[in-house]
Amino acid sequence: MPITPREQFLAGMRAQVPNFAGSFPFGVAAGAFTVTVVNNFWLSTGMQALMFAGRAQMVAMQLEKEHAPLMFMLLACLVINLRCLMYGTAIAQHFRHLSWPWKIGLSFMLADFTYAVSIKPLGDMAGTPDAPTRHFFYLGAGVFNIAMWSGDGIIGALLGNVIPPSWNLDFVPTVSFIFALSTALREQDDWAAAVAAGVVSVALVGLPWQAGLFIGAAVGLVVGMVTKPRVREYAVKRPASRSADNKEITS
Amino acid sequence: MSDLQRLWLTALALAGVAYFTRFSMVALLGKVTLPVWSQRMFKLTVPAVFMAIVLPGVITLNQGIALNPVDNHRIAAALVAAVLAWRTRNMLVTMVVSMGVLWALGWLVG
Repeated sequence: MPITPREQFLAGMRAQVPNFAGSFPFGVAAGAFTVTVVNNFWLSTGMQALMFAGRAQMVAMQLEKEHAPLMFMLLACLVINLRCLMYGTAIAQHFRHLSWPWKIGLSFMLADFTYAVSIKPLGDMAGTPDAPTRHFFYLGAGVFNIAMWSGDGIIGALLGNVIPPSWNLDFVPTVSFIFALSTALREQDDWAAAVAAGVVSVALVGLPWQAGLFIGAAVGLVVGMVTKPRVREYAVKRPASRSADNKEITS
Repeated sequence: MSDLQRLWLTALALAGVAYFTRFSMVALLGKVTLPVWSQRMFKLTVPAVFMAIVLPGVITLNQGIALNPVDNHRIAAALVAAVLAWRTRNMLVTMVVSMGVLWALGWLVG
C-alpha cells in the first residue's frame, strides 16, 4: 500500500520540526534588523516571506543602510544564493514528473532546511510505489519552513520596533555571519578565501557604497579557488558526522 | 517615488533574484549541468562573502578603522560570538550572549 499524499505531507512537516531551533533565532534576528532599516512592519515581514533568504536579506539591508545602489544589493543576493543552484540541480529529478505550476511553486520553497530534510527521503522513494507522491513530502517540509520563517519575521519585526537603539540591533547581521563562518571554515581553501577577503575588504574601507566588500569577496573567491582544498589536520580528527554533513549542505 | 515604494520594489527585485537561483536549475532539468568547479566555488562564497562583510564591519567605527577594543566594543563582542559559534554550534546562545556583551560594554564603559 503506497503512502498517501496526506501522509507524505505530514511526514515532511514532522521532518522539519527539529529545524525550528535553527530557524527561530536567525529568522527573528533577520526580522528585527530589517524593520530597523525599512521602518515599516508590512514591508519587513513581506520582504522576509517573499525573499525567503535570510542571509541575503540581511546583507541587502546592510547595503541599503549604506545607500548602496540597487545593483549591488541584487548582486550580493545572487552570489549568496548561488548554492540554491546546487540544490535545484539535485532536486530537479524528483520534480520531473510534475506539471509546470507544481515546479514553479515547489521551487519557491527550495531553501536550506527544506532541501536538507527532503533530499534523502525523496531519493529513497524514487523508483518505489511511493515515488509519484513524494513531492508531497517536500511540500509538507517546505510549507512548514515557510510558516516558521514568516512567523519569525513577524516576531522579529514586532521586537525590532520596540527594542531601544542601545541594544545595537545593527550588530545582529554580524553575529549571524560569524555563525555562518564558523560552520563554513573547514578546509584550507575556505581559510584562504576568508583571509584574502578580509584583508582586501579592510584595506578598501571607505570606498563608496561598500564597494570594498565586493572586491574583497571576489579576491577571496579567486584565492580560495587556486588554493588546494586539503582538509586540515584538526578537521580530520573530528567525528565522522563532520564529513557527512559537509556533503549535505554548507549552511 | 517615495522611499517606501522604492523599498517595496527593492524587496520584489531581491525576491526575484532569490527565486531565480531556486527555479533555474529545476526549469533547465537535463539541458544544463553545472561544471565540476562550480560546486567548490559555491562553497567558497560563504567564507569569502561573509568575511568581507564581517571584518570591516567589526573594526571600523564611524567610517574609520578603530582597533582599540576600549573604544570599539564590537571587537570583543565579535570575538565572543566567534568562540561561542565555534564551541556551541548554537545560534540562539551565540546571538543572545554576544549581543549581551555588546550592550553591557556600552553600559559599563560608555
